[in-house]
Formats: sequence, structure tokens, C-alpha cells
Amino acid sequence: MTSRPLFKVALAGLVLLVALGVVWWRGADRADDAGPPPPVAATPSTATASNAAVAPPPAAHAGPREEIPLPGCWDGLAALDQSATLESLHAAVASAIQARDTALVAYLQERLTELVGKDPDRALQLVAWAVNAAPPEPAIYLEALKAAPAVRHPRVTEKLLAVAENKSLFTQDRAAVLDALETQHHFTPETRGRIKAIALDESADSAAWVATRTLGRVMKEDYERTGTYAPYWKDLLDIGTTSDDTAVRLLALEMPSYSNPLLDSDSIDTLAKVMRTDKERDVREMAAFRLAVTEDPQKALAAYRAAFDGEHDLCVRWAFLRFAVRAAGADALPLVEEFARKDPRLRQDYLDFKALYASGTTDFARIWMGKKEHHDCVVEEGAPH
Amino acid sequence: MGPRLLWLSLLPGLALAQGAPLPVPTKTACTVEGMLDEVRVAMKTGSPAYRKYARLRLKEAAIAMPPEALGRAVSEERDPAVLEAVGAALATKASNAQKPELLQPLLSRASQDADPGLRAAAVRALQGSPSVEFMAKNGDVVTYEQLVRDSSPEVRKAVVENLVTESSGIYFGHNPELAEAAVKVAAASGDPAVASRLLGEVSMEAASPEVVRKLTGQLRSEDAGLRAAAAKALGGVPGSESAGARRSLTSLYRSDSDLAVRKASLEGIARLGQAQSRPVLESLRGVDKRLDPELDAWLSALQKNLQEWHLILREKQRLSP
Repeated sequence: MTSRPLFKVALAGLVLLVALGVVWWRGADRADDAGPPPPVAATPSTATASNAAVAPPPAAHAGPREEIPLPGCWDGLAALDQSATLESLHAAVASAIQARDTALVAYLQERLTELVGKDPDRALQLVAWAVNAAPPEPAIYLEALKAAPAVRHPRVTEKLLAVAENKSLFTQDRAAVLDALETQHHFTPETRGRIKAIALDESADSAAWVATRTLGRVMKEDYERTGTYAPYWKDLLDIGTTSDDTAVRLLALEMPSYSNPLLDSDSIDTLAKVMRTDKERDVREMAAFRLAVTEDPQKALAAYRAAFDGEHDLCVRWAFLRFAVRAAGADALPLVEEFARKDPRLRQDYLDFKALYASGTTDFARIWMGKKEHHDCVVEEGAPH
Repeated sequence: MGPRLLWLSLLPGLALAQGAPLPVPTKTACTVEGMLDEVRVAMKTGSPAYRKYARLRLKEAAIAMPPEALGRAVSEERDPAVLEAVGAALATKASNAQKPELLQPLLSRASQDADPGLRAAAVRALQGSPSVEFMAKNGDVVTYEQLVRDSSPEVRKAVVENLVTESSGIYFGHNPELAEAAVKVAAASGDPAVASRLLGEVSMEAASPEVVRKLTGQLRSEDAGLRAAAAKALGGVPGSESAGARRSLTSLYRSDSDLAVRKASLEGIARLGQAQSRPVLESLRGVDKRLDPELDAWLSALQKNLQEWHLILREKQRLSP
């Protein structure tokens, strides 16, 4: 893994996702609205990070009214801001896009959010513009809407759902609308059912994928607000075990990673079966990842043990090993030793983990930061595997 | 006003739609003065979105701006919000160019301005830059230990925010210098609220043995808030320091009669050993009956054998906030 040194300084949570080999997102065809936020590989100082990305500044000559090459500036923006209406901001969006000024686009989007506020009629105006505009405009209106409290007004939610279900629209437009539903605090059983139906619709393509992600993101929101995850997870587990689209199955199983609920014992059985039987390596690895945070770590260890002999892919075996450690810490070391005995390619991993626990560290987030990588198993975006 | 016009005036939306054209901004060249003017207008009368845009745009442009112009603006600005925006642009430029000396005008404002609001703004402007490292490279003429003794609570609060943000946002908790700065600044502050927040929120993951020793020394502080913060922070020290830290915290729980200090000691012990700390926690039952329910909550959370501290803490807070 070439970027390993960068991981050393990344956020623990993201590190776990990334380095444990589960961060994965769609290839170029769907990258625009792809999965959970990609890993942030941070560096020890912003300076180093910025230096890599920005050319050296041109020779500085102090002088009056010297023109700065970047970025573009705008006359009349303060006046627009002062008297902003939905219409005036809408009119300015085209200029910002034409000038490829992403900062101005971001401003207009945020100003739209401010103007919409809690007003459902204004929110519906954004939906109407989104439905009728050509890319990249719809994303601007829908992102603006997503951040406004009005997106949770029943009339607005219903309108978004109706558009998302409309099979006469392009799937990418339906996907963009589904994405705008992800800031809901809660889904009713009826809404979950409608979104799940899109997720399981083979013809929905990218909309099915985003529907799955939206279910997962609202699960996170609801879980963090109220502790509720089970009904969403049941739907996701159904999707993860029945969808014909590998990417959708994978995503469904990935979504709890972002809130880490302790999965119940019945889920362990289902996931253990996926881990033994799914035909895709990625999906089996994801099921192994999911088993690392449950109500019953010992049962999870038993599932890893039961799956090990039948698994012949080294990368999946390595996943069983590290997720067993994540599930049970030092208590997993006897099982890890057993794995290393059966497959000597994993011996160094056993020795590494044993030494790390002997050092007095207990938090797996820190253990993992100190773990050397010996296998070439991380799948880069878009790479064949 | 005739009847027809009166009717139209009752429908202002319609009148507007048919009347004045919508104002659309037009592109213009960027100049230092123009951008500074824009920041001043935005900070004074702009919407939150416009203020954010103007601040970000100035930061972005600062990379190509002559440092003298920004330094001058930092030295002369009288409005706190504008000083913070211009100072942040200068700090971005300093870190981008790896020139710590560019921060000097900002450090002067932070330490010497007569107006506490402007001093606080100058401190806040450093947020998001590697300020601890850059202060050291400027010869430690201005340090956070000095700034945290400011008479203004607003300045002291800005110091804390900077260190907390720098530890988590720039170094992701893995920086020994930040751990050291937090412990030193907490000791220097004389403000228990400041010290508690620093020790409670700056990661001790990379703390050196020397810093751990200082932190342990703070368990004997006269201020109970500081003792509690130090106890909680000791829970986060590196594994190589955990045995000593555990002994200190166990002894603290037995000897310190302050409820908050004892509560923090339990958290520190739980964090150091996670599931393995259960026997130590059990041994403390009955020392203070008021805290036995708290102890039980930790034991229940640890019973689940979760392996990541943030998950254990979440489970415990569910049982007993």
C-alpha cells in the first residue's frame, strides 16, 4: 500500500475504514455522486499539503492595484447578496458555471439555502429548477435544498420521492433527487419501503445505488439522534443479500460503517453466510468488516473461524484476520495464531499484532496505526480486481 | 396613482418580474485592495454565505498576493472580523510558503493590541495553521503560554480553540508538540476552565514520558477542575505509559475526595485498559458509594468487549451520561 505513511496521520475512524480495506467507491461512471466521503489523507501540516497542490507563487511585486492572477473576482456581488431573491441567484448561477468559478457556485448554493430556510414553497421551486435544468445546474439546486430545513417538510419530501420514483426520467436525475433525501432525520416505514424498492430495481442503475446510500445515511442520522438503526439495517441487509448488482450489495453492507451500531446476533448469522457464500471477493470482505462491531464478538470470532478454511483468496483471509482483531482485540490472538498456522503467509501479521498488544496499547484505532502492511490487497478506485 | 397601477402594486412579485432586470454580477480583475474592500463589506453587511465566500476567496488569493500588502492590512485593520479574515489569509500564505516569519505582524497584534477584541481576532486568525511550530520558529517571542495569561477571557478562549483544533484538525492527535503545548499552557493559564478544556480535548496519544510526568503532577493541583481534567487526559497517554498512569489514577481515586476527580479517574482507568481494566475497576467498588453506579456503567460498557475507545465511550454514555 503505497500511501501507507499518509494513513499514519489520518483520522482514526477514516483510517479504520480505509486501511482495513473497505473504502471503496464507484468508478468514473458514477463518481460524481459516489459513495461515502473518500478517505482524507492528511499530512502533518497544512503547509506541506498545500505545497504539493499549488505552484510556487509568482515573484511578488508590491504595487498599487496589482492584478492577482487567481481567483476571479466579481463586481456587483455585494449588491446581489444584499437584495438576493431566489430568482436573482438563479440568474447568477449560469455566469458562475460559465466562468468555472466553483467558489462563486458554492456561494450561490449556500445563499439559496439561506433563502429557502424553512419555506416549503421555495424548496419546491428549487426542485422544479433542478428537474428542468441541464447538468451541472440540478446538483446546485438540490445541494442547496438538501442543506435547508425545508427539505424535511412533508410536501417537499413527497415531491422528491415522486421524482425519484419516476421511471420516465434519466436514472442519473433520479439519483440526484435521491441524494437530496439524505439529510432527512428519519424515514417512515412507508418511505423506507419506497426507497428500498428503487434500490432493488435492476433497471434503476445509479439510482439504485444512491437509494441504498440514502437509506444508510438516514440510518446514521436517525441512529445518532435517537439510537434507531434496526429497521434501516434490516432493509440494507435485505439489499445486501438479494440485489443482483455487486456494487449495490457492497454498499448496503458498507453503510453501517459510518455510525457503527452494535449489530445484533441475528445479523451475525446472515453476515456469516454472506462471508462464506457471496461470489464476489469484495462483498465477502465487506461482510467480514461488518462483523467486527457487533453485540457478540465471540460469535463473530466463531464466524471467522468457520469461514477461514473454505476461503482461498489471501486478501479475504487477511480481512478475516484483521477484523477478528478489531472484533475482540487481544482475545482474538489465539484465533489469529490458528489462522497463521494454517496459512503461513499470515504469520507476520500474527507476530505484529501480538507485539502491538504486548506494548500496552489497547485501543484498536491505535493498534492499527502501528500495524505494518504486508499484503497488496487494497483495491484502488476503478482498478480491475 | 391610477387604478391599474394600484392593482399592479398589490402584486409586487409580478411588478418586479416585469420591471427591473435581475442584477447579475460581472467578472472583474482581482486586486489586493479590491479583495480587502470586499471582505470589509462582506463582514459588515453580508449574509453568512457571503462572509464565508469573501474569507475563503481572500485565503485562496493570498497565495499569490504580495505578503507586504497582507502584512500591512493585518497591522492596520481596526475591525475584529476583518482582522480575523485578513490574518487567516496571511497565516495560510505563511504555511503555504513555509515562511513562519510572515506571521510576525499577526503575532504582534495578538500579544500587543490594546483592544482585547482585536487581540482575540488575531489569535483566532492563526487557527488552522501549524501555529505552535511557527511560533517556535519565530523564536518563541510570542507563545500560547504567554497568550493564555491574557486578561481577556475572549483571548484565552481563542487560545484553547486554536490548540484543540490544531491537535485534531492538523495533526489528528498524533503530535507530541501539541500534547506538550496543551499541558504547558494548561499549567500556565491559571484559568481552570481553560485548563480543563485543553487537557480534556487535546490528544495525549503522542505525549512524551516527560509530558506524561508533568500531566501526572497536575493530579496534585489545588484546583479540582484541573485535577479532573488531568485524570481524564492520563487515560489517553501512549500504551508504554499506561501502567504508571493506571497506578496514579487508582491511587487518585482512593485518595481524592472530589466527586468530579473520582469520576474522571474512572474514565481514565477504563480508557487505559479498556476491557482489561474491569478487575481494577471492581477493586474500587465501595471506595465512594456515590460513584458505584458510575462504576457499574463502565463495567457494563466494557463487558461488550468493544475494541475502540470511541465506541466504548458511546456505550457508556448511553448507560450513564
